[in-house]
Amino acid sequence: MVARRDAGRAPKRTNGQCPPTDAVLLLQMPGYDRWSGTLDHRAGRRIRAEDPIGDDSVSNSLSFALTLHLTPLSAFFWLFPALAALGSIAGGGQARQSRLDARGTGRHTRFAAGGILSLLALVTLALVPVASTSLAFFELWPLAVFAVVAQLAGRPSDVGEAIPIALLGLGATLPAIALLVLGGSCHAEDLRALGACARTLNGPIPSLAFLLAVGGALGIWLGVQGVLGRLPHAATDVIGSSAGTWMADALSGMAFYPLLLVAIQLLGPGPIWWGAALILLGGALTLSGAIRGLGEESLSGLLATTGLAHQGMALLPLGAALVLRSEAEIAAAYSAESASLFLLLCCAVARCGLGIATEAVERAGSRRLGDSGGLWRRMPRSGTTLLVCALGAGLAPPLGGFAAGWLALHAMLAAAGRAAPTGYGGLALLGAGALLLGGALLLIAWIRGFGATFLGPPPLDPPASLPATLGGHTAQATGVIRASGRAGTVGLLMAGCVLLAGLIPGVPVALVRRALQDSGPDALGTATGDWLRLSAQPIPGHPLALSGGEAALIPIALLIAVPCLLVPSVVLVGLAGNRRATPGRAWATPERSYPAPLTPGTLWTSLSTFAAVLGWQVAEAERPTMGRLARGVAAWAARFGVAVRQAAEAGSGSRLPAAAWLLTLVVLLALAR
Amino acid sequence: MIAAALAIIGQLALYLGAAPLLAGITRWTESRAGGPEADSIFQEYYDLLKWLYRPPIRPAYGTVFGALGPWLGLAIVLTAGLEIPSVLRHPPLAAGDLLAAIGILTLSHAADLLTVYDRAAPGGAGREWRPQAGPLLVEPIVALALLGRMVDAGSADPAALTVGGGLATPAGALACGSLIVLAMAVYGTLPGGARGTSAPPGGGAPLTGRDLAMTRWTALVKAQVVLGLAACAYLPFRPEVDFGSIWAFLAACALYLGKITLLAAICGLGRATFGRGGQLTGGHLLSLATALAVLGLASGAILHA
Repeated sequence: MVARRDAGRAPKRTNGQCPPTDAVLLLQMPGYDRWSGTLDHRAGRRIRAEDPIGDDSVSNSLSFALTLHLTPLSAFFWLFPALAALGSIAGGGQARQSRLDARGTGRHTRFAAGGILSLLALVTLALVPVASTSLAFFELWPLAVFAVVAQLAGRPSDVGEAIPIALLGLGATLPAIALLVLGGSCHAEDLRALGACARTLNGPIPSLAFLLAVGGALGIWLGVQGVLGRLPHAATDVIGSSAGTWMADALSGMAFYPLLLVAIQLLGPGPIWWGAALILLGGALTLSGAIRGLGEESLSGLLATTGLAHQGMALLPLGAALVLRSEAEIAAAYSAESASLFLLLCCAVARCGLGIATEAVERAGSRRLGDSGGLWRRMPRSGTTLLVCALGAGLAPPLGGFAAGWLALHAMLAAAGRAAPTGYGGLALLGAGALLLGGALLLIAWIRGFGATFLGPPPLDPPASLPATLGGHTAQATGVIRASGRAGTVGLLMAGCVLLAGLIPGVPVALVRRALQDSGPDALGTATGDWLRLSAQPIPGHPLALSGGEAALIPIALLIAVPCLLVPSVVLVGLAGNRRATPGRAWATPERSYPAPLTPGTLWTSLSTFAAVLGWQVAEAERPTMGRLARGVAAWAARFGVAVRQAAEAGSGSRLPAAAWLLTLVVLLALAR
Repeated sequence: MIAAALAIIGQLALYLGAAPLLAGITRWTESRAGGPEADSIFQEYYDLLKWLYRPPIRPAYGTVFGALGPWLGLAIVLTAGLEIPSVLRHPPLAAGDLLAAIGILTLSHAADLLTVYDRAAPGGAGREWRPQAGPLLVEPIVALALLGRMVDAGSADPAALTVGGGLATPAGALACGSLIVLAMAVYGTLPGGARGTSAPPGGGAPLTGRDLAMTRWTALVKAQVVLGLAACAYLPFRPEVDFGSIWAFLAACALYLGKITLLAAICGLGRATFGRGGQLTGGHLLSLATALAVLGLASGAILHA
């Protein structure tokens, strides 16, 4: 049977565009391990030459499916639907346990069911035997679940408009693979063999396959964003929109899988404009998403719009990787791919925590930024989750997003330096600028969301939609609103993961390296991380990347920041309560002056630091000038002269001031000497 | 080890001490050219002491973010400043460390915003975002300028930046254009002023007392750090300090102040030309000339030493 099958295919490969490559021979060699894609003549052989290939037996089909789904790269992308399922289940539990949700219609259970359905679909589809079909379902199932969620959440007319756009990206991989199979006469039952065949292709077919993959991913992103942009407005009175956001994040994250699969694993090095196209697309998505996020007026809307920016930020180092691949800098390209996946992972974890905190806030009744404030004392766990994950999503140090962004920027810089002679260096540099600016804009957008929700005063004129527990002034709303234990724990867990990813970047970097090891042995040892330390793959002979391949700044930052924070925290936090204005003096009239009450705190302040040490007359001076200081010095000199005269006139006055001034003079002379 | 620790402490003291002088010199030269009346160049010190002496007034709903925000911002800016080559310390400013310093500087925006939102008016803080977007341009633009110069020069060493490449290249032009944006952003975002108040966006309790002093001081230190960072890319002076000669040390200090003053003058020109309501006066030119004179004298002293 094997002989007949090989005999039937050999002439086709010989006479067609795809000759019998080493991939075909590789499949027939003893010791070829489909799990790791390596040849090992000494170890045990998992697939022998006489084993049936492509047989329709159940075990062999299962082997193909597992080969596809249990590769490190695809296993890495399983994290995204897993995060979505986790968030959805936690959100459903949170909705169920929230006593503030007066409209507890029970629909939250559908969202929890959506998460469970996702997990079941994962297990089921992993067993689908045919590789290409399984690959399609790997992309299809989150879209199906998301479509169900969207139909439950919003109005069908709104959601229905965006679903066809998302359907355009349904087969992001399938058209590309079909093109390779039909145009290149390759076989699709094994991805490695398909990749080995595709790398031998010339002409426009690889570029068309690349464009199909990019178009499919873009279709998913735009379609999902189209749906997601309507969710916060369509479903505010029905469900929390975070469940849909998690599903969208899962889809958006998985949109990277066909890109990596087709552009990196199957096609291999291509022309440099592939990377330039991805950098352009990533920069546009980053800036557009970040700028849109700045103008959002709700946390859920902020979560929706910034998702596009996060996808674009992860796309930028991927484009740099393609540029570096085209320049034959394979090791540096792996470092750039590691940066892309690391950034994608950090953003996904941070966004999961953001979604949970957003769900908690919106369940409490705050739908719009500025409608509520001062929730920090009442929702400390959600506030902590939102703040930490916001800093992580904004690429702020020392969190995981910063470490990933550092690697991504280094990759962009390496691509800019390496591609400078070809004219694409400036484009890579602009991509680095887009990453920097996008990260800063995202940071401010999320800090704005946090500050407008958790800081500041409660609303004086609350909207009608705000529950009574959040309305009015502080005196009317007391107590701590706690999210459900499960959701709050999951949120804090996500925040902790974001923090640890920044403090110990070696762990996620190792995970990413394991995901990329299927692409080649050079993927190992490219980007490394250690405790508070990062290093990227340098390019030999390129001094720019060689001297900038490490950063160990964070320990210094901690050494400085901790003492600087310790002193004011003891002083201000311990005594600030005595200096607070009374609640009746609201801040609605900013022109009003606020006299400082005389309290132990203000008394201590007046005696401390500069006032006690320097003793200058700044307390009385509204605007001290040089003239006032000169008058002060003159008065001091006059008093000194009086003291000297008193000392000279023995018995005419007190000798103590004179002795003090003389002693001062001696000390000053000694210091001057 | 002790010398390194002393260098760090000295650089921190230099940042904290020279920051008001930077603003004072700029204000004095601008005012002096406009008329006989001008504040002293030490006026910023007096204002700083005055506001530091006054206790802060915080709203009843204030949280720990409002209390710690100014201190946190100052600590963050000083931390980033330690990585910038200065008089007393010349750390290896490679590309990796530069990116880390830029990230830390960006984090200071978050500390500022936490302070601002802690005292915002009811319903006002969540609406306005444009006033907060301007300062964001500073760090990415400076980083982009430096990266452009690095790519242009083919090296991440600040000493080599001014050797290779030129402003006629795309990266050099990008770096040059970034200085204009820097000029518009750095000095236009200083909180407070003569009246000593700074209202948050959307209304609310203005910064007063020690909070205002801390925020303004932080902004001045930050301007110094950012300008010092930009100086790495634009000015071909990188003297190594010889601690054995007091004159060389003083000349290096003067050179540092000259560099900062020159960039401040350039920023003042840009602010007057492109800023909101700005007007180019002879004071700006005088400021530029003063900076050039200080820089020339300091450079001569360095060469002589």
